[in-house]
Amino acid sequence: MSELTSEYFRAAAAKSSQNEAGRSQRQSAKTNTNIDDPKQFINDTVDKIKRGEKKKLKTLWIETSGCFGEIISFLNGDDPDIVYWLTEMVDCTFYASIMADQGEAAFKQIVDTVNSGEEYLLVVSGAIPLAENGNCAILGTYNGKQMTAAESVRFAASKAKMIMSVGTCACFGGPTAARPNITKAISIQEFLKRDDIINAPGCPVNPLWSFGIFAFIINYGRPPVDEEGRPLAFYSKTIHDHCPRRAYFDQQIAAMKFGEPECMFMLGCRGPITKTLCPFTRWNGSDNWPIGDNTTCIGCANKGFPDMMEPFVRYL
Amino acid sequence: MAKTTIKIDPVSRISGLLSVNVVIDNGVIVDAQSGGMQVRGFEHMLKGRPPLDTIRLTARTCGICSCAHTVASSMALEMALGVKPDFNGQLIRNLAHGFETLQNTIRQIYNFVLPDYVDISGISPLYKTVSPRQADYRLPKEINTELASHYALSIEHSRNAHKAEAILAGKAPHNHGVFVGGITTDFDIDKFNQVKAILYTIKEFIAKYMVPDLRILMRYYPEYNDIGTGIGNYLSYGYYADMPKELMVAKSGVLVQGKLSELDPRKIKEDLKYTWVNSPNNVFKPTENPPLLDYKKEGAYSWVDAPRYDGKAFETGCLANMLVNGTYKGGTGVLHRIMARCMESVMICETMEEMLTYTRFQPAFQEPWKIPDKGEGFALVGAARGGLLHWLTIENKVIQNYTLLPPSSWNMSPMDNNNVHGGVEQGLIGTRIDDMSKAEVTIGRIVRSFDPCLNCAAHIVSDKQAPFAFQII
Repeated sequence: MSELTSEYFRAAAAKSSQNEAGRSQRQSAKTNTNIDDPKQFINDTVDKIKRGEKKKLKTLWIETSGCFGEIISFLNGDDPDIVYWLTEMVDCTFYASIMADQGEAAFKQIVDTVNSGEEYLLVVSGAIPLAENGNCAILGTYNGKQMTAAESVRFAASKAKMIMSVGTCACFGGPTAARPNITKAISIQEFLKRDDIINAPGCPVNPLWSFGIFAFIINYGRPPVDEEGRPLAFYSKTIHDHCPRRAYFDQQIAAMKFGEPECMFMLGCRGPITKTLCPFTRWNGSDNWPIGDNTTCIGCANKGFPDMMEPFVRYL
Repeated sequence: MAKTTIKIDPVSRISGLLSVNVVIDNGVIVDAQSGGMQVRGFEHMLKGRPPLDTIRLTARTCGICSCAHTVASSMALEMALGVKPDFNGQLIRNLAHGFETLQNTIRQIYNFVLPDYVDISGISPLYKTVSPRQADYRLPKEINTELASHYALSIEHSRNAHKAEAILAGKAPHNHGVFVGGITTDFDIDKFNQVKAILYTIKEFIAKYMVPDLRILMRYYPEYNDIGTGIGNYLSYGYYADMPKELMVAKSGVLVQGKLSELDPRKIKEDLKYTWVNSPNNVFKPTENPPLLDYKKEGAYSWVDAPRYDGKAFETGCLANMLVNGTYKGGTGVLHRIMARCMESVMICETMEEMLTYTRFQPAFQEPWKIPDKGEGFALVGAARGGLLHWLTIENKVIQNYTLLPPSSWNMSPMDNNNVHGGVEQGLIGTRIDDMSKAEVTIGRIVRSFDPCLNCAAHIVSDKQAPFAFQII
């Protein structure tokens, strides 16, 4: 291995141990919020709702400027699935991708929920484009007025008990705000200028994490979050900490192309700086995930994705 | 009867943001505008990026068909880099893409279309419509109950389709495995067994539930077999057209009012008269400056532009694939468009089963790919909603220009520079509306048969020669 390579590894190892120290400190304060098995946790919560111990959450889910992959990933939820979520966990009044109503009647559901005087959770997936007066994303027409994503989210947020951003675009701008960002898209927390928004990043969010956060809110209310608004229970371990290729990293044995079994740090893997449960939950109910598929983590749940996470692969 | 204007905004149960405006005169739709309500500007975003990163980034243009974008991007890059993909890798990435298409089809038919015809409000108040009478539900109670139960059942199968994609390519949506050279996945007996079993259950689901359910809709909603026929011009990039003949579901071709000809990608151009961008000639030519967004543009009503082939408007999708290949014998109305999609997915399942028999258990074929100083590549891919085009140029080892032309740009296109309407618009115009209280329902059913996807349909045509000045990290 070249000297340069060793240097990279030493620097990364130092950074990684700092992360671990920081993490164990936080965790000792919040031990009861650490969730290693989201699936079990979600199922327990659903049982509690069934026994009448916990209440269903009134929920509005607004999709703004993005790829609409969050609904697709959410539909991939397994045990509970979306039908279970709708019938047992929440009382959802607006979700344009799946709801039966259309047009003004659909949009009116947002208005009615906000004006109902009841507590509700606002979920937003997608970023808010500000260019062209916000008209780069128009969610609907109400009373003859076209409602931009910006206007709709500001209105829906006005009386929300809690706001949750789902996906990296809503949390940090994500691919929608990638340079040169001609639509001037920004995240929900930047747009609303609030620091109390629960951020569930991921491109997309793994449904085990998002269902898990819903279960957490139903059980305990607002989840404890880190400095970026991410629930600690789901976003406090780096991929690197629990990477199955970690032994190669510790011995400084590097893969130099996709398909080699060793540590992919030299290929540009963002595992050391990406805090998600990917190594535990894997993806789509399979054992596979990006590392298992011989590719680098691209840090899709991180602030600054994609611009600050590139290149996604580099060959030395 | 006076002229009435009806606006549906948002059109729910689609992918992305869509608004539809129609004018009804004497019980007939005489004008229609389909407006794409979102734009993100990928063409600007992709400029100056490391070329291999575009596989991951173009996936992010669409959450429901991201695998098609990764396949198109990988193939276009292979052309630009001069890489010949490994056949096993091609098979596995096509299998991943096939599973994604099946996921798409199941979700379109059950999650998006079914609530137009079947009352599923028993599942959640989210599925209630303002008035069930206006919703025009016609199924007898017991049949309705059965089809509503298939809605719940379908969720398992679309999820499993994505599970199979994840087994073959890391995750879904936005997979990691599809790459230059084929695939990054080490294929083994375990993966083979799992995806083979999933494929079998999906095929059974389609045969036992999806096809019969659509037949029921065709019986109880007979006029929807005939209305919403559209342009009558069909454009197909084929499906699995990069495969040997025995593994091809459909070959490419162009069908203009019944006359078949070969596809020539050079005949594709895009009109911008009704698109909210500022362009002096309103035509996409690769040597002009990229237009800027202009929401105040007079007369414009969509972020989507108007692609035209040989100057004509086209419909693309499964029905187009099947008509071009002579494999669909039914009609071309709303429910036939959906039935053709269902029938094509049966063919896709059969081809995928065949494809699995050709796979080899071997490690991924991957190299440290060399990026040329200059290069150019394009790919035409049959995606779930029809033909998808990716075209890129490389200069100084980074992306100089990248154009995506997804299927919904064709189907959801606004009028072109000659005021000729796009696919869904022509599908609406001429439709009889006998009962105005049901007009919105009829419009929604016609629009959804095209499976609109607006996430990537709106794209900014960009310029080959414009200087780029981005810092590369």
